[in-house]
Amino acid sequence: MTNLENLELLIDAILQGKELPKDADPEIVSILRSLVDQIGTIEPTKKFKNSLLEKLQEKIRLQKKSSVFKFKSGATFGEKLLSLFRSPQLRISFGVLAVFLITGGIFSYSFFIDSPDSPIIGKPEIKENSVMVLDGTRKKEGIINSSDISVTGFPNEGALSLRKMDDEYNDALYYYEPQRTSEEKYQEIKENSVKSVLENPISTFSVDVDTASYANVRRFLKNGSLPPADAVRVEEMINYFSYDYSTPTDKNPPFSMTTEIGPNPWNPKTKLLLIGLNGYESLEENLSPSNLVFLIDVSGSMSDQNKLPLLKKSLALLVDSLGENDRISVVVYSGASGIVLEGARGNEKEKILTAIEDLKSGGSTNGEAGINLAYSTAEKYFIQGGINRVLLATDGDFNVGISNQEDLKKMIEKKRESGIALSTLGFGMGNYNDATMEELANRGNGNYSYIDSLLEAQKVLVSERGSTLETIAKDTKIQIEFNPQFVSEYRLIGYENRILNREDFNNDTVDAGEIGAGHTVTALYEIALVGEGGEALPPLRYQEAPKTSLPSFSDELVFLKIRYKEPQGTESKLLEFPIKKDSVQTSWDKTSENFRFASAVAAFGQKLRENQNLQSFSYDDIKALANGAKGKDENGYRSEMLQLIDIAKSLSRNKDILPQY
Amino acid sequence: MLQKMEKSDSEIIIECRKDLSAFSDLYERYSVKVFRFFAVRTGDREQSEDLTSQTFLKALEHFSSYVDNGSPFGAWLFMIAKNLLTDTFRKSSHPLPLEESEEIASEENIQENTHIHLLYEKIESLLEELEKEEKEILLLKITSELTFSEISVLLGKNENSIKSTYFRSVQKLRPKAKALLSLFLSFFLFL
Repeated sequence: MTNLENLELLIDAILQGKELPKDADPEIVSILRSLVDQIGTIEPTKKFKNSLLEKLQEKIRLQKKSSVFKFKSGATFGEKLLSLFRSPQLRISFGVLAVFLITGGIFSYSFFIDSPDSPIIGKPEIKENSVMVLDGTRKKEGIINSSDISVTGFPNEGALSLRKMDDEYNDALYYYEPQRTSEEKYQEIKENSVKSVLENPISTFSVDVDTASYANVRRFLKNGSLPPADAVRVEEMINYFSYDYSTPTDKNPPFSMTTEIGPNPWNPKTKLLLIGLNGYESLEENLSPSNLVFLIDVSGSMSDQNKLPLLKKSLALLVDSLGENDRISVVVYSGASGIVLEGARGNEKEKILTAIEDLKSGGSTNGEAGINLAYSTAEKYFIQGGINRVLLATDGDFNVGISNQEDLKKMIEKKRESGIALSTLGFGMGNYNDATMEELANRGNGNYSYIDSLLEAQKVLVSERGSTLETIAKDTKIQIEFNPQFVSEYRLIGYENRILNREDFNNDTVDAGEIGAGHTVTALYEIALVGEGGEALPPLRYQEAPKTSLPSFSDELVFLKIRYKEPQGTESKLLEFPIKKDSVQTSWDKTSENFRFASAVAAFGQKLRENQNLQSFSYDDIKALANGAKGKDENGYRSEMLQLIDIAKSLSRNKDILPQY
Repeated sequence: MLQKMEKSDSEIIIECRKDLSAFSDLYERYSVKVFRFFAVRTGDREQSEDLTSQTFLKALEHFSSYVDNGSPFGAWLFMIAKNLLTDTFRKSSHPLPLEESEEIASEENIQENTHIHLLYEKIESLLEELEKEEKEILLLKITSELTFSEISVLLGKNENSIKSTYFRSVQKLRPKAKALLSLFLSFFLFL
C-alpha cells in the first residue's frame, strides 16, 4: 500500500476505531496501532480538567462583561451640518456656533456630534448584544470597563447613525456589554389582578419586611441594565424606605397603625389606600441581648470584592455596635465546614475582628454540616428572652447537601419553633438565587436582605439592626374587607408571593411575616370608588352594588383587621379598625409625604415591571412625585432613588436597541 | 473510541461569536488532545498541565483575532501550543527531567506522572530513528488527531509534502514493528 491517501484513511481509521481498509499493510497497522493505543492512555486528571474549565469560564464571564465594540458616527458631513441646525442645544448657543464657524471651528463639529445630546439623523445600527454607554467627550483605547464610563442619556431614538469603525476613523464611540444575568434565578411574579368587590370583598395577605429586591434592582441599574421583571418585588421596594408613621408608645399592641386614602398619581379616576404599620422600638441601649451565629459561605466564588471582602467589612461594622451581653459566633462552610469563632462576647472586639479578618475563600460549597453546626452553636449560647439568630451569608444556591430543599425548609421551621430564627444576606451576582434566599428567610421567621455596598450593610446591620434582628410581632397578617356600597374594585400593589387565603387569617398555624423593632411596613391598594368611573372590569349583568349598607356601617369604606403573635407567643391577637368614608382626601396637597413617596416608589417598581396599569405615567412624573416628597432624607436613600429613576429612564428609552434580560 | 461529534468546529465558533460561553465546548473537544500533545513531548505531567492551561487561556484571550482569520480551529489552537512548547524548550535547554512537583504529590499524581514519563521514554526510543520533522508530523497526527490539511496549515507546508513525510516516517518504523508486534501478529506477518 503506497498510496498516500490510503495512508491517511488508515491512520484515521485507527484513531477513530473504525474498520480498517482491506489492503492495509499489517506491519504499518501494528506500528500505528501500538502508538495510538499507548498515547491513548494519556489523560489529564479530572481535577485538572475541571479546574481549568472553571478558570476558562470565569475568564469568559469577565471577557463578556467588558467586550468592547467600536463604532463610528456614520452620518455624512452634510447630514451632520444639517443636524446642527436641528439641535436645540445649538440653537440656544447659536452665538457660540457662529464663533466656531468664523474661526474655522469646522474641526470642532465632532464634539457636538459625539456628545450624548447630539442630534445626528440616521438609523441606529447596533451590534448584537452590545449595550451602549457613551460619553462622547471622552475617548479611551483598549478595554473599557463599566467603571470607566458613566451611563448617560442617549440621543432620542433614531437620532444617531452608527457604523462599524474603520481603523483610520477618529471619532469613535464605545460600547460595552453589561454583565449577563442569565444564571441568576428569580421566581416568576404574577401580578395581582384587579378584583371586583362584589365578587371578592376580602383581601388577605402577610406582611413582608424584606428589602432585598430594592438593593438588587439598584445593582442592576447601576451596572447599566434594566432589571428582569421578576427581580422587582414592588412591596420590597416600598418597604426599603422608612416612613414617618406615628410611633407606638408601648408594646400593647407592639405597632401603630396608619391609614390614608388619597388621589392616585397615575390614574385620576382611582384612589390609593395606604396601610402603614410602625413597630415599637425600645431605645438602642435596651436592645435585647443577641446571640448571633453567622453562617458564611467561603467557597471559591465568594472571593470577588463585592462578596467576602464586603461581608468582612460589614461584620466589622456590626461588631462596633455589640455589647458585653451579646454573643457572636462565626461558622464557615465550603468543602469542609468549621467553626471560626465560638460564642465570643460582644465586647471582645479584638478577638472577633481577628477571626473575621482571617476568613478566606476557597473550595466548593457544601452547607449541610455548616447549617447543622450553626444551629447547634446557636443552641449552645441560647439567650432566654434575647435575640437568637443564624444569619446565612452567601452568593448563590445554598447547596446544603441535605438531599432536598424541602428537608432543609422543614428543619429551618423546626428550629424556628425552638426560638432560633434564620435571616439571609445575599451577596454578589452571577449564580445568585433570589427565590431560595427569600424562601429560607421566610421559613426561618427572618428577613432577607441583599448587600450590594457597605452603605447597605450599614443600613441593614447597624442603623436598622433592631428591625433586622429583634422581632416584636410575628405571623402578622392583614385582612381587608371592602364595603361594596362605596368601593367597586381594588388591586393590591405587590405582595404577590404573600397572598393568603381568606381562611388562613384566623388559622394560627399558617406562617406569615414578622415585624422588627422600629420597622415600618407599608401596603398600597389601588381602589376604584363607586361612581368615579375608575373601574377596569366590565360591569356584571345580574348584580349591582348595594345602594345602602347596614345602618351602623354606613359611613365605613373599609374594615381592616390585623392578626399578630407576640415574639414567643403561639396564639394570635386581633386588632380591628374601620376606615371611614370621610377620610378620603381628594386634594393632592393634603396628602402626607409618606403617602406621596410610597406611591412614587410603587409607581417606580411597577414601571420597571412594565405594569399596564401605569398607563402613560412616565419616569419623569415618578421623579417629580418622589422629589416633592423626599422630606429630610437624612441618609440620602430617597435621593438615591431619584438617581435610579434617571438611569432607568435612559435605559428604557433605548430598550429597543439594547439587549433584553 | 471517538464518535463523530454532532457539531463541527465552525458551527461552535459561530455560536461563540454570539455567546462566548460556547468556548467551553471547544475546550471539551480539545483539552485531552492538547494535553497529550504536551505529554508526549515533555514526558512531564505537571508541565503538560501548565502548558495546557496556558494554551487555552491564550486561545481565549486571542479568540477574537481567530474568528476573523478563518483557518481551521485545530490548526490555530495547536499553533499556540506549538509556540508555547518552543518557548519552554528555549528557556530550559536541557532535556526535561522527571521532577517532583512542589504541591503535595498525591498518589494519583505520582502514578500518573510515572506513567506519562515511561510512555514518553518508550515513544522516544521508538521514534529515535526519525528526523525531527517526521516525528513531529507523526505525533501531531496521533496526539492531536488533526487532518493533514490542518497539519499543513500548522507547519506552513504543502499538504502533499506533509503526507509524503508522514509516509516516509511510517516506512522507517517498519523494522521496529516486529519488535512491537504481539506474538499473534508476528506469526500472522511471517506467513
